[in-house]
Amino acid sequence: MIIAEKTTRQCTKTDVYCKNREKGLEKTVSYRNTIKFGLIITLCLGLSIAFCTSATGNSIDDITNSKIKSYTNNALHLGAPALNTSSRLIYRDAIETIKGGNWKEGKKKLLLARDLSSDYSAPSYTLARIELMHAHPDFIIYFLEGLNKDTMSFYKRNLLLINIEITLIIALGITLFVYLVLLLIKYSSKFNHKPMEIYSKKIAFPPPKYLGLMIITGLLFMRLGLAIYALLLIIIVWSYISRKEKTVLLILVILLSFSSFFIGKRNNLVPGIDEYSITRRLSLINEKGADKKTIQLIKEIDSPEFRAERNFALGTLMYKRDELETAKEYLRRSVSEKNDLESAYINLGNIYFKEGYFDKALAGYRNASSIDSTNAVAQYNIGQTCIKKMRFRLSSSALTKAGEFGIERYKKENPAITFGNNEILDSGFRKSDLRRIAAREAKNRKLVLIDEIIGDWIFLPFSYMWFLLPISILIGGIIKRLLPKEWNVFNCDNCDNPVCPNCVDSEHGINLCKDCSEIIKGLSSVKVTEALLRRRRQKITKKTTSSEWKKMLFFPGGTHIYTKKTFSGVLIIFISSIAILSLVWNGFYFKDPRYEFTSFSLWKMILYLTILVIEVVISTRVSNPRKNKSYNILPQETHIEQSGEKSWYKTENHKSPGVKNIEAGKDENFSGVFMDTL
Amino acid sequence: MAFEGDVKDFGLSEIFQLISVQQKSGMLLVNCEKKIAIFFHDGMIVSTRDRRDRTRDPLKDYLLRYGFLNRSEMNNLQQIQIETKLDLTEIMLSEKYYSEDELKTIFTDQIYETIQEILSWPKSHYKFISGNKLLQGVKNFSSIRVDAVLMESMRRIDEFPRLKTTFPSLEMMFKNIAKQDNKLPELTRNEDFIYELLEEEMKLSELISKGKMASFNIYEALKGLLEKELLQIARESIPEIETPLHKEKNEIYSGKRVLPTFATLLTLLACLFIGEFAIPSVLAPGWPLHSVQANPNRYIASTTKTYLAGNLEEIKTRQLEKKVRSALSEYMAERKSYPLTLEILSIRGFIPEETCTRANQAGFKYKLDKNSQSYLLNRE
Repeated sequence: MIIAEKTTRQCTKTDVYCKNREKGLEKTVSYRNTIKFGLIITLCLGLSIAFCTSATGNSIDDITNSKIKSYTNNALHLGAPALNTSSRLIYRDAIETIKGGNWKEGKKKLLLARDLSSDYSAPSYTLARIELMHAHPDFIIYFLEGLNKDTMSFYKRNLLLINIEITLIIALGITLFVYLVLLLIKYSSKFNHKPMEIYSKKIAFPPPKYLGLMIITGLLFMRLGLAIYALLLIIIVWSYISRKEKTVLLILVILLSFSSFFIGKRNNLVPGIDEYSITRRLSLINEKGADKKTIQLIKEIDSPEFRAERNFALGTLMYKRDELETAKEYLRRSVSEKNDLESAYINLGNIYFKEGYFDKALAGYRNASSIDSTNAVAQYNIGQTCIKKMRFRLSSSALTKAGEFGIERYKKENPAITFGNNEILDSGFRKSDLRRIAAREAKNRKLVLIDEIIGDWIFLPFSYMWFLLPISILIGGIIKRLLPKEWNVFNCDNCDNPVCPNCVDSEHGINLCKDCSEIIKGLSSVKVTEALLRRRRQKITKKTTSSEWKKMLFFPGGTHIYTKKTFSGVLIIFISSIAILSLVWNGFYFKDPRYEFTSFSLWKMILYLTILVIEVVISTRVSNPRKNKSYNILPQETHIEQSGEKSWYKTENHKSPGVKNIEAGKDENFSGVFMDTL
Repeated sequence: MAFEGDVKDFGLSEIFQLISVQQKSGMLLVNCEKKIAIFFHDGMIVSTRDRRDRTRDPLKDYLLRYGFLNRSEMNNLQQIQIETKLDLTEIMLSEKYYSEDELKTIFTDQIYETIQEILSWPKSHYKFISGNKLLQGVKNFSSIRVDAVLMESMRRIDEFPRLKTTFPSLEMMFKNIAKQDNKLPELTRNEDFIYELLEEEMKLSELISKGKMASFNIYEALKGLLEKELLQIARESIPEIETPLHKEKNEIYSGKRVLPTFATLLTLLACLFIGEFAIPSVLAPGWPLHSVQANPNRYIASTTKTYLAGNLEEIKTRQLEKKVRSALSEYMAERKSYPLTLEILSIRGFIPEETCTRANQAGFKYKLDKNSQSYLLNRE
């Protein structure tokens, strides 16, 4: 009121001000209207999108095939939490429909197939492919959904983990072996030099150049296994490789030793994929209804160690079959044997709920909730029981908690419950329970799975690698220290041939091999460098480099290692190893037996081949080094003696003072030692 | 402030001119076959000696290459340099190897030759760093104008190939022609010096190493002398034939032949025997697994019955069984009855044919009951 009066008073003062003020108020009102209008429009749009989008799930009535529908109803009647078989059949039907050209109908069926199963990812991936082909961004959602399904159930997650573990360990092993072989090729001339020198002094035939080949052949004939070969290679190459290469080798050895020590001795994942293990049998109650076969499989478990879990599983199955008295008996036994099985309390509560004893039911759920206060099913069932007891406030609070603790996630994991009118929800084994059961069961298994897969190839048990690999490095290091100086092999500064202190010629201030030394013998000073360069041109660029280069191309990444791009080289080898393994196994090592349509997938093969081809192309695109090397050489008459000391012991790239620098490798422009300057 | 680039984008001669016109002081680093530093002061070239890199002194090279100093003299100078830490030019002056004027000439010629070398590089990378601070400690005997250096260098680059066709080999022998009346035509300073040197027959390479001037000047002087008929080529060198140096050597090893061959063959046979019989009999491939399978009680911890598959093969067989059972369930769901045989599953596309074959190989026996509503799948 006071403000209004003030405004009126001000208006009387000046008309102009008043008019402006009115205009301002009008504008403000119009802005407010615009905002309101915008909000309404947004709300309408939002609501229309929300309601136009299919919010209702697919129902069993959408299944057109009467036989499948009847089978599905039967499965639902037996309390199946997911309808995997129906989902797979509808998926097959959808594929046929799409092949027939009716992709809209096919898509509808795919959506239904997707909704029926919690861990069958094929419909989601096919939907993603269809959306991608129609340039629709929804393909990302379907793709992520597929990935989620691949890790949702205990079985799928276990399968994925064990496959990743196997692939990574084997790929790591292949990478180490290939890397060592590549290093052997790279430094073969150095390894061979000294033995060849000794051999050639005493033996004329077989020729010394075949010495390395003979040793390799002998070792291969002995079939000692890849592990022993790898250990031998580590011992041999350790003395000659560069610091960077040693670092990479050490990283690989540490990773493999770590795998050998920890993962190699762990079998916890095996029971999860073994179709008749106790873990797998018990986990069936999370996947299937209470059919006779499942009950039979669980009844067969007679191990006292797992009696509580067995009784819980049987109780749950009996509850699903509506045999409430039997179910109650099993579940009671279960909780008396193991009083922290909250799922047993929930299902016991469910039986009381069905019998109409809501207080007892509530007591059961509260027991479960006291063991695990974040149990969404317990809270949901408390909420439902409270409704029955007309205690709506409590019900509302419990249902809110159930929402917070992930009841939606539970529904996604058990999609079949959305097809029935389930007032209350039953509970199976949780993933953590199954993991614990698997760990207990795995204690009985002493065989290491990875040994079983690669045992024939590596000969030594993989579980020994954690100490054998570091020992081989230690031996390599000791050998390097014990090697006499005469065995210290380095490269000729001109042609890169290996030379040792016994055969080096360092008269000219650089380290020359026998052949280079022979060539310049008796030449005038000005001709020395010309002759050396000519030899270098002929020896290196035409012969040695090309043959070594070809050998390094035998595996992707070899050329990177040759050109000292060691880290990227090893990475390429690792990726290529994974691609090769995937190609050999047509995917992962273990496959889900429930969902294997065909034994061969062209798309997968194309993918792995593409990766391999890319790796090969990357490898071949590394340019062949011309081995340009600048060094200084003095003509004989101007050579400065360094107080009688030979230079090769000091440094590999000796630089004599006051001399001409010659760049080797620019052969076509070369015209003599002094001409080169001009 | 610094600018840099490649010669292919912006030529070195232009860079030189730019520095000259702008009268800049600083260091131009040119990097190709080797790294050379050129120092400018107010747009004039003052030195090409990089004091940071003592192992590669272009002046030292120049002095040795063209015989200004011999090996022992250079040894002495270096010894003094190590002891006194003085610059080479300062020692040469103090030890009176050359006067300051002579040193200035040598220094200038050396700069000419270095610049000429840089300009002849087809590809190079340059970087100019501006600032007077960079010139601190740079020994300077003369400041040379950039345009003079460029013109001279271009002339040398143009003319040198022609001189080389006249004197193609370093093995060519020369001798001067003495005039009977001792009346020589007018000779340049270089021609005069070379003429005197050629009192005795000398190879071109030898002449270069004793000529005390840049090789281009020697060639030019020789050409001048030849035109003035004061030079005779004593012996034409034989054109060089590039003999293949990597010809196949008939390596003749002096050692034994028969005994080592037998020994090698025997060793290889022994290796084969070890690989084929000895090792498999002691430790068969996959021996850790076989030992477990042979003695399961040793490895299975408890006395309780284990439901876990004993080995990998068993896991795979169980998976195979699961696959067949899943397919049978699907068949039942779709057709309301189980198939008559497993082959029907593969025919209808429920399992691949390979799975059916594997199931048969694994010894699975499928039996259908009379009303086709249940089945038995057992392993033999």
